[in-house]
Parts: sequence; structure tokens; C-alpha cells
Amino acid sequence: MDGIEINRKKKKTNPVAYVFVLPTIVLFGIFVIWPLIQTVYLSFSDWSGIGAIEFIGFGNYLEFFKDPQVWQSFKNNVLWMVVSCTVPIIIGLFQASLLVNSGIRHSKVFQLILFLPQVFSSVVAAVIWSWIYNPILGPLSSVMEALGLEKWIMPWLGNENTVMIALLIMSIWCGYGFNTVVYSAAIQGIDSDLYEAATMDGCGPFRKFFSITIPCVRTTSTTLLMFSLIGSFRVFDIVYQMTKGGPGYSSYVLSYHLYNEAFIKSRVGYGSTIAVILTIFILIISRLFLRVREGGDEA
Amino acid sequence: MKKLASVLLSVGLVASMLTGCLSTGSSSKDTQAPAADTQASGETTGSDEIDYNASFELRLMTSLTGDVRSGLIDDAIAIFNEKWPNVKIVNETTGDYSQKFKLSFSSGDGYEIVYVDDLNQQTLMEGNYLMDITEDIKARGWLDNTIEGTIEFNNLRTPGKLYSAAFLMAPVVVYYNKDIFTELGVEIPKTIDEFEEILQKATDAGYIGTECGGDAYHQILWAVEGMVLNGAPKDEVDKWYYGEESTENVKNAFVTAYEHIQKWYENGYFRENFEGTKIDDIPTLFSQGKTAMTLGGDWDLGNYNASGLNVGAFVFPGFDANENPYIVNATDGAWALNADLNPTEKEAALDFIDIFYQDEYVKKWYENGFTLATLTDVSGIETTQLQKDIAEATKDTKMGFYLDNVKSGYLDYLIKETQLMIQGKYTPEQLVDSLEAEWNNK
Repeated sequence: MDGIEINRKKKKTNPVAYVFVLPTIVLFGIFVIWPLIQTVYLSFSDWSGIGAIEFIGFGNYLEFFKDPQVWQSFKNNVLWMVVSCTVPIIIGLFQASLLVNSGIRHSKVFQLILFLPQVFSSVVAAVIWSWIYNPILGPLSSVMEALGLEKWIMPWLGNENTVMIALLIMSIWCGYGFNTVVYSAAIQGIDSDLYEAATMDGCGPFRKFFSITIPCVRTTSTTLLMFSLIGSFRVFDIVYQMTKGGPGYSSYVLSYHLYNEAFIKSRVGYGSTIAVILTIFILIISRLFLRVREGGDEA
Repeated sequence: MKKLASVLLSVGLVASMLTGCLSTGSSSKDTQAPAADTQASGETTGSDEIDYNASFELRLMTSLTGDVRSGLIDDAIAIFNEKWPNVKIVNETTGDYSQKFKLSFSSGDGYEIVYVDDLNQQTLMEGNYLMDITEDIKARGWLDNTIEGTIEFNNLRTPGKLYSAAFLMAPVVVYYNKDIFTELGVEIPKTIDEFEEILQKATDAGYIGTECGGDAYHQILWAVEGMVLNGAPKDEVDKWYYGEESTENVKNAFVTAYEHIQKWYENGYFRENFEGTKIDDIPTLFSQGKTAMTLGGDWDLGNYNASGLNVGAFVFPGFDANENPYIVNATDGAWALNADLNPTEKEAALDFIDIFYQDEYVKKWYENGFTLATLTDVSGIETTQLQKDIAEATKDTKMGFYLDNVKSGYLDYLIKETQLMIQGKYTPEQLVDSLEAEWNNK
């Protein structure tokens, strides 16, 4: 009887809890849910941001699937996804393993240095890298000249063949430090007995890395992968600051296309459409990814 | 009891939060001027009906960013407050003012005084957000105080009605290195052909013919616009600009202009790898002393003065040496009023704008390198030789629109499509077809 009474007491909801949650919910409703509803509404309209809102049904959605800039942007976002879900994660894992398992002295200092790019705002980092890539005034060109590589100097951000590579290098620089720190924490949580046992069995450092470290940080890896996946479709600030989607449309991404349509061309309705479709796409991708991860965990 | 207390507490929390969140939007209404007798827009009240001691706020939104311009506006506010001591003018100018206009006016809380270019003026007028101040402009003598046609320039789409008043112009000129010109033995060009000859000579001599910022391509676009303004009949260019009609003459003028640009690029008149530079780099690059000339606005005057070089200025030439050319030289922007101002607010706002037509004040703008649209005697003002060059060069030219302002987003489209041509994706004809398609895309 006492056990049943205790259970009943545990299940009884404390109304004071709602008091503390209510302000957040109200703010969430005002600043997230309501604007979301408005954006969906605007996606079915033709509106310049001022004046009357004209309902046009699915006109914007039809235009979206015929818009060549959408497909160019999507290609760039997919490229961003492929690179950001591989390179910075691999670098982060490798560096973290070195810092934690190889006995480097002052590893905390190295972790701090590697984390520094994360501290910069993305706009500041974009300004710095724009200057680095400047073919006339930037240090990259100066170094190349000093090394006798003048012929290889090119307008990195002004050439359609190099612009995405340049942006992705900057993105990797921004991201791998965070991954290193997260992996460092994860690797430190691996039971050291596993490594000792592997050593006694004659495993070398590479075998330990692939057979112990990587499997044990699987959850961390999938979490970072999901962040990178979502981030690759949300990228805007780097493109806005460094190239404005140019030269031509070669560095266009969906978020910048959305901004350009809504705020430069004053086509808020069509920009809302891009926002809605992008949101749905990210939700679907994230959900699929989580299902794959859950399936892997069960296995 | 506990439940009641919880409910009351949560209601109180939410109410205080909402009060805090929603109170900011009502401040302008709280400080609105007391309404005088109801007056129709455009009519001025008698001065004896205006309460100069009234206390209210007028918010300003302009494109006049930067420390210098903000400081000059602060000076105007100080002068204004001598007559209206209790009226607070709040300068809310920031970047991206176009978005701020739209948000504020469409939400019913439009700025009381705005400074708009032609495109933004049209946008606000479509929503009937601006006040017709034709009679006020005439009564205050602003038309007589400005260069003929400048106040009308922003109002050409509403003949006979004036919704805004300009006091500055924004000419695009060509800054040139006088020492390089002397070395090359060339003089200021009077035609496009002469301009190209100088580009060729400079390039042959190992100099850079002209600069262009790779991110925004403004120098190229200004050259194109200059050639179009002089390459097609003015009335047809105006019809194109107003979105009424795109004639073959205008299209051909664009094709010709872009053919010139393509030739300049292929002949190496631009700096190598300019595509990777920024427009803000241009004065720095020019100051290296290796560039013969570059297009720039009068707002760049200070940068070129500070270059340490012997710099002069001339206007971008037309095709005919015997004609004074049209140059890219719209009014910088123009003052306009919110259509919902009551008579007292309107009188105060007009008094504020009136300051920008007072010679003693507006001379400060000239001293800081801006080009006046007012008929102010600046002969006694100490200025740089470069500023005198600009004034002398532009005095006999004819004003032309910034053609990229034809509609929202057209400048960005021009930049990107021009970049594609430079990269070899388009011929000039294909580029112009693309521009035409976007122009037709209403």
C-alpha cells in the first residue's frame, strides 16, 4: 500500500512547474510560432514588404521548382554538406585522439588554441578570410609571391572555379576546432582498460584508434554529423559577407537566395516560400538521420 | 489555495512580460504632437496656430550614414532646436535603411521624416505613405534655392507634384593620376574613343588602365550606364527607367556599352585578378600610383584626396565631343514627410528640412566634400583642388539616373550577370537579353 501511495505522489503534477515554464512558452509562441505561421501564410502570397498582400496560391511553390538559382543553390548546399560532414569531423577526431591519447604535454593549451576560431563571430572570420584571399592586398598572395608562385595567384573569391573551395576552407577552419574539443571530452570518457587490454594484446596506435576510439565515440560522431548536416543547409553569413553569392551565382546557397529574393528584390512572398521549403527539407533530413542513428544504436 | 496562487502568479508574470514586450511600439504615439485644427495634407497652417513649445518626437531615417554625415545632421538638429526647443529629433539612420522603411511604414509606425532615393520614394508612394508637399516647397523657396531640375528629378514620375526635396547630388566622375597623364602626354578625354586610347596607352606603358571592385563591379556598371545615357535618346532611356517601355535604341545602347567593357577586359585594361578585390579596396589600390584613372563617386573624394598623389577628376565622356554629356548624377536622396503628420508635426518637420537650404549650414556639407544641389555661393570656401575639379567638370553636364535603380534588386542582378559576361558565360547580346528578361519580370 505504501508503495502505491508513493507512486501516486510521484505522478501528481506540481502546478508550480507550469508557472516557470509558461513565460518561455509564451515567448516561444510570440517570437517563433507566430512568425512561423505568418511566414507560411506569406509563402502563398505576392508581397513586396510594403503595401497590400496579394494571395496567389501555389504560384510561388511552382516557381521554386522551376527556378534555376534554386538548383544552383541546392548543388552548393549539397557540396557544403558533403565537405562539412567529413573533413572537419575527421580532422577533429584525429586531433582529439592525438591530444588525449598520445601524451602530448599541455594538451589543454592546444585545445584552447584550436577552439579559438569558434570564439570569433562568423562575420569577423569572414572579413578576415576575405582579406586573406584578396589577390592584391592579401597575405596569401604575398606568401605565394615570396615563394615564387606568382603564376598560381588568382582571384580566389572572384573565380567560379575556386570560390566554393575557398569558402569551404574557411568553413572547415571555423568548425574543426569545436569538433576537436567535443571529441576530446568524448575520448576522455572511454574506459582506459580497453586501451590497456589492447596494448597487452599487441595492438598499435592505429589499430587502437580504429577499433576502440572510433566505435566508442560513435554517438558523438553522429551528433556532430547532424549538426554539420543542418548547418550546411543553413549557411548564410559566410556567403553574405564574403561573396554575396557571386561571382555570378557560383556561390549561391539556399539561405542567401532566400535573403536575396525577400530583401533585395523585395519579393517577401517568394522568399517565405524558400524558407518554408528549406525548413521542411531540413526537418525531413534530420528525422531520417535520427532514424538511421537509432537503428544503428539498436544494432 | 496553492493552485490559485500559482494561477495568479503565472498571469502576473505573463502580463508583465507582454507589457514590457509591447510597450516600445507605443512610445511615438505617446509623444505625438497635440493636434491642431484638422488640415488637409499640403496646406500649411498659419504660424499663429503652431505651438512652438509643443513637446513631441520626430524620427528620422536616412541613407546618410557615416560619422561625417551623422555629425552634420546633429548640427542641423541643434539649429532646429533653437526654434523648437521641446521637439526631439531622433536620427535612427543605420545601414539597410530600405528594409527599415518598409517594416516601419507597413506596420503603421512609419518614420516622420525620411531621406529617400528615387526607388524608395516610389515604393513608399505606392502605399500612399508620403505627403504631397508641393505647395510647401514652393512657399519656402526651395525650388528657387536649388539648381534647376534637381528637386523635380526625384519627382519626375508625378509631374506637377513634389513629394520630396533634394539638397545634394551624387555625381560619378573619373579620378585620374595627373602625373601618369603628363607622362603619357594625354589630356582629359572628351569622347569614349579618346578614353579608350588613354586606357591603351596606359596599359602599354605598364600602368593599370582603370580599376574595378570585383565584388560589386560598380565601376564597370557606371561606365555602362554612362554609355547608355549618351547612346540612346534621353526620353527613351527615361521610359526604360520608369518601366514603361524598352526600345531597340536602349537595348542597342546596352549592347554597345557591354561590347566596350568586354573589349576593355580582353585588352587587359583592368588590373589582373581584379575579380577578387572589393570595391573598398579601390582607393587604396589607386593610391599605389600605378593606375591611370578610375570611376568613383563624389563620396570617394576624401579617399582620393588622402592618396598622396596628384589626383584630378573629369566626367565620364559621351560619344560626341561637341555635346555636353549626360553623366550618372542623380540627386543623392531627398527629404520627404510621412503622410500622417498632423499640422504641428508637419511644420516642425518642414522647418528641419528648411535648414538644409540655408546657406550657412549647407556650406558645411560642401566643406566636407559633398556636391550641393543648392545655389549656394561656395566661392569663398577653402576646398581642395580635387573638389574644385569635380565642381568644374560637372557644372555643364546633364543629369542622368543611376540606371541600376530601375527596380528593386536590379543592381544585384546587373552585377551578377555582368560577372558572368566577364567570365565568358555570356556575349554582350546574351547579357542584354538576360537584363531585358529581368526588366520585364514585374
